[in-house]
Amino acid sequence: MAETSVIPSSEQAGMLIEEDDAHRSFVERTPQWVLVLAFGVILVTFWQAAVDLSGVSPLVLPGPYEVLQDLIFTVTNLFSGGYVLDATIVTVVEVIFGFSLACVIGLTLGAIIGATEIGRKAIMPYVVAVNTMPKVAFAPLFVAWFGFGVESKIMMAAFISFFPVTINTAAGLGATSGDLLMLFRSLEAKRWQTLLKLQLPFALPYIFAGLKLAAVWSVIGVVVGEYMGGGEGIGELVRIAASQLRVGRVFAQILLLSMIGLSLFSLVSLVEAYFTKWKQRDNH
Amino acid sequence: MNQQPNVAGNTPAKPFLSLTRINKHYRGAREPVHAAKDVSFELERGQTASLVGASGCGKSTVLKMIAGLLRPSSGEIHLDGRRLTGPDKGVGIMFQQPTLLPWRTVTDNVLLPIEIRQGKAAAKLAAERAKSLIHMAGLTGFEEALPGELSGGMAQRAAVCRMLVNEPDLLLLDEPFGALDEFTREQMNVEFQRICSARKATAIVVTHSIQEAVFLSDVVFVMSPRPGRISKRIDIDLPRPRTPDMVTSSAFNEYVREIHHCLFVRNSEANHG
Ligand SMILES: Nc1ncnc2c1ncn2[C@@H]1O[C@H](COP(=O)(O)OP(=O)(O)OP(=O)(O)O)[C@@H](O)[C@H]1O
Ligand SMILES: [Mg+2]
Repeated sequence: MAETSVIPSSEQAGMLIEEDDAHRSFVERTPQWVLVLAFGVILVTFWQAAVDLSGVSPLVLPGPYEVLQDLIFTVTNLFSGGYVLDATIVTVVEVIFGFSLACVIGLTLGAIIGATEIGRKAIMPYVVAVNTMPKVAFAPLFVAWFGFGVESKIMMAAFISFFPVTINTAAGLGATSGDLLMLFRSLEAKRWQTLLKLQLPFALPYIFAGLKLAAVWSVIGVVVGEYMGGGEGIGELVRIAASQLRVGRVFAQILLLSMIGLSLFSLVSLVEAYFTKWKQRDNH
Repeated sequence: MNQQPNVAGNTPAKPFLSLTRINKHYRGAREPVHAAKDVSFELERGQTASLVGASGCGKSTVLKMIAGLLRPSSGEIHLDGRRLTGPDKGVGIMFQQPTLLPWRTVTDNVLLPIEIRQGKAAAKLAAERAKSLIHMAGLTGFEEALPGELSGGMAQRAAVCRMLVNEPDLLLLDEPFGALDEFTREQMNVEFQRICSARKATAIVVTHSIQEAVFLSDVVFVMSPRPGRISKRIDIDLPRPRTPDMVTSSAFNEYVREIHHCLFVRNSEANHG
């Protein structure tokens, strides 16, 4: 039974790969990057058309060309050590500290909730309750508590992004199959052995999913903190540019912010790939 | 082997494993489930026993109680002169699924019991033993393979190695080969019998296959459900080692018919009652 259920699936996979080119649709035959690029071109065309046809002032909605110019300016400034670089360093530092704090808090709290009865019963309800609040609304409080420096932004980032880590860690630690827990019990495994050798490896995919969310959310937290509490980061640059109605500049700076988030996200993905090497070997 | 004369009430011919009036009540959704009722039996060292019965009659429950994974509501279990109250080093259990850890190689999976009980250093020292077990199970060349790279039968064989690595005296198997095809299953049964006799291991096998029960066992216990109890004990008096062609012999099939009859009669009684 098991043999027959395994073999057909691999055969099916093989058939898909060897399928005749003529029988595949245009989308199946084209490499993905071509599709992405083509769709991007369509979007930009529509954008340009919208600007041209609507007659909206370029002050409100700049076209792709104006934004490109602002982007070039911003990048040039960044790499020639101008004020954009200074702001980027501040924001990156805030994101890294906020994210790290979120990891420490989230993993600890998640482990307590996932591995102990008292944590699951007593602490989890509070985590869920706080998670349902619109956390961005706390930003003014964080400024009041931690001031206008980097501290309030770090705390805001950590506050917003420790939830996915906590909840995923707790869920992951609880996701181990009953049979495997039974196996460990029959081997008289100590609590820490079950946790480290069984539950944690099983929880890793969950934990990394939480960390990836946290990577993105920590940037959001920092920006919200900067909008509220000023400072010297990119969020402050965005605020100033927007108040001067330099929309192209705003777009370019937002792109810069998303690059920070993307870099952190990629870093987490790399670490994940390292820790789940066995999975890639498994699936080949 | 080592008699303990100071244990009260011991006769010299004390059985290796004994269950004395074991009961198990589960806390059910509405009312308690009486999953095992007055289960008593004894096994000599080196014997293989099978537990057969309809689904839900309490076979796994009995096995888990012997393994110390469930506490009996009443009754006592004795192994080799000592009372079992929890998991024991002398007892190895194997489940229906191979339950290998997918991120560990076959060797590291096989060494897991040693690593857990005695630490990483001891597991390193036992690498040779693991290797010879893997070799014996026909998995040579797959020492460093991951469970995802094995077929179902190979994974189950790796699980057998893991169960054996601590050299337990009592082997408990809960439908170990149920998920395998007929052919692989027969091979595993021959192999398992060889291992048991080579190590003088005592074993209890839960199975849905009457043929498998007869093939492997010195004694078959037929269980009836609700409340789960042992309704019949059938001693299998066939020569060892058992060979696949024995399955067609008339003596073998007489046992199969007898067990089938027990299960069938019990079923029709339940339907009338
Ligand atoms: N954890 C549990 N809580 C409550 N009832 C249970 C529990 N486990 C088993 N039972 C009940 O006890 C009875 C016996 O279950 P058990 O798993 O021992 O059956 P089984 O003979 O192994 O069946 P199968 O052949 O299907 O594996 C069943 O009626 C089941 O509903
Ligand atoms: Mg069962």
